[in-house]
Amino acid sequence: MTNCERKESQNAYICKREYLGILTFESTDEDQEDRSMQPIYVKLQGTNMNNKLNSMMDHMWDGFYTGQKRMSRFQSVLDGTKGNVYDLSYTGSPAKAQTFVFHSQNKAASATIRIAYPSAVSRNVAKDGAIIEYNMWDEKLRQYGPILQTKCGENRYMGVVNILEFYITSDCELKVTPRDAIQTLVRMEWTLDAFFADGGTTTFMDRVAASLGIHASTIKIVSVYEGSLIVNYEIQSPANDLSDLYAIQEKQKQLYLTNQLNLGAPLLDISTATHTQKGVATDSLNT
Amino acid sequence: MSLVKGPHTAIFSHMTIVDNFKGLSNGLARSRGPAEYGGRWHMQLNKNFIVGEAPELLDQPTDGSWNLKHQDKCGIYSMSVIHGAKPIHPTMASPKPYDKYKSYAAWGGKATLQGNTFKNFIGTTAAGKRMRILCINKHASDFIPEHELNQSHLVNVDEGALAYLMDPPSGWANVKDCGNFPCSTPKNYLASWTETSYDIQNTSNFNYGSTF
Repeated sequence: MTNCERKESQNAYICKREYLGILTFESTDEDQEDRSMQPIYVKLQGTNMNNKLNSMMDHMWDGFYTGQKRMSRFQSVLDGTKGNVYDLSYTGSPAKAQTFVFHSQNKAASATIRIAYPSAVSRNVAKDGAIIEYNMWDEKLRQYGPILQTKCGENRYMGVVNILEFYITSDCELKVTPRDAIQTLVRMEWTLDAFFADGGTTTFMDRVAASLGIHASTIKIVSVYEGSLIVNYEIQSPANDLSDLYAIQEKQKQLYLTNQLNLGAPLLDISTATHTQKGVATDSLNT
Repeated sequence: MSLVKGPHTAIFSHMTIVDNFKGLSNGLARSRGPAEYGGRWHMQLNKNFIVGEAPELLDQPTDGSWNLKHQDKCGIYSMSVIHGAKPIHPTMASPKPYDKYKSYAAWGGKATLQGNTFKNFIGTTAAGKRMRILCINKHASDFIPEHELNQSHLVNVDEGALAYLMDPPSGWANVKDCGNFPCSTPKNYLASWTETSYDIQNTSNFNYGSTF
């Protein structure tokens, strides 16, 4: 890192940099003391920086024995120079729900954080209790638009690679939580170019919405990729009501099973399930 | 370290601290739970006068009862907010020192050091041990908020005496402490120095009160 000099006698780096700060994050799952995510590696893209983090110490004693409980809370020094992007690589499965905060003496300090998840599960990024939606879908990029570092909480989900990206600024606290949604993956006999020539994701969402009798705004595209053509999408309940979501899923399953859901091309495979904050419901369909 | 509830600021100010192997520190304890996330609990050290090593004539008792000569010396010990601590006025003797954390670190602490004077930190004690302004509390395994030092005045301070940041002890790497490798907080300690001034004085001029 430029303007940082190693001082052996102090076992430290002396840096003349303006945007250093500390990123603090933790699991807020029920098993936050029982399940390990560490070591977590914090990597600054474009550098060799690779900070290996451990969780907190076990402070609990039960008579002669230790408690075997350690809180999954972490801190990492971060360089919040505008444009910096950090990858957080969890060697254990990342927690479903996490809280992040970044503190720097310089209020202009900020960073983009990327978390790679092992599977495609819907997540919300919320600030002060308000959900911040993904960036707009970009038909040219064929995924959600890139993080432009415009406001704290700006975020997007990158399908296929299953990476959640969000932007955090100094003194901003963000919560990442799973959301209740029907997740569906359909494989169709179609090419990627033909799909986008036919109206792409907008037309696709309109077709799903019309068939299910729901508003298109409740449908999110997660990813579109070749193979022949695979579309991964999710449906949320407009009223944030689980029973409403189960009813939509039941209708969707019936339409798929009776081949009445017209998505513009013949269907080859369907995989769908309702994901809730507590896990996956038993209403999955795989054909 | 004091045990207090509610949004809180603790300020230690206008003190003279001389010749310590555990430096001046501040600490707070706050309850664990949802309320933990509201605001930042603020630990402040303001306008204190902190001396690295006293002249021989002011040094420890000669009967050997409390001999600091062969200890590393620190001006400031790192500060943290934790979930539980001993009461501010102890009611019984404890085999554990006050600086030993026996609970998780809390969310949202902040440490500022405003207008402190640090004098006679020359890097090495008379007995050849380390002498530094900033040190990490050797029990701080969990979380240390950033330490913001503003308008510090350094008098007779060697460039190499600003800090010594210990590596996490390898002894932490066991199943009853941190697991397979030591807890990483000491490697993520951040102190910022702004508006710092420097001075060189005759070390025989040892007037504690002149800075107030």
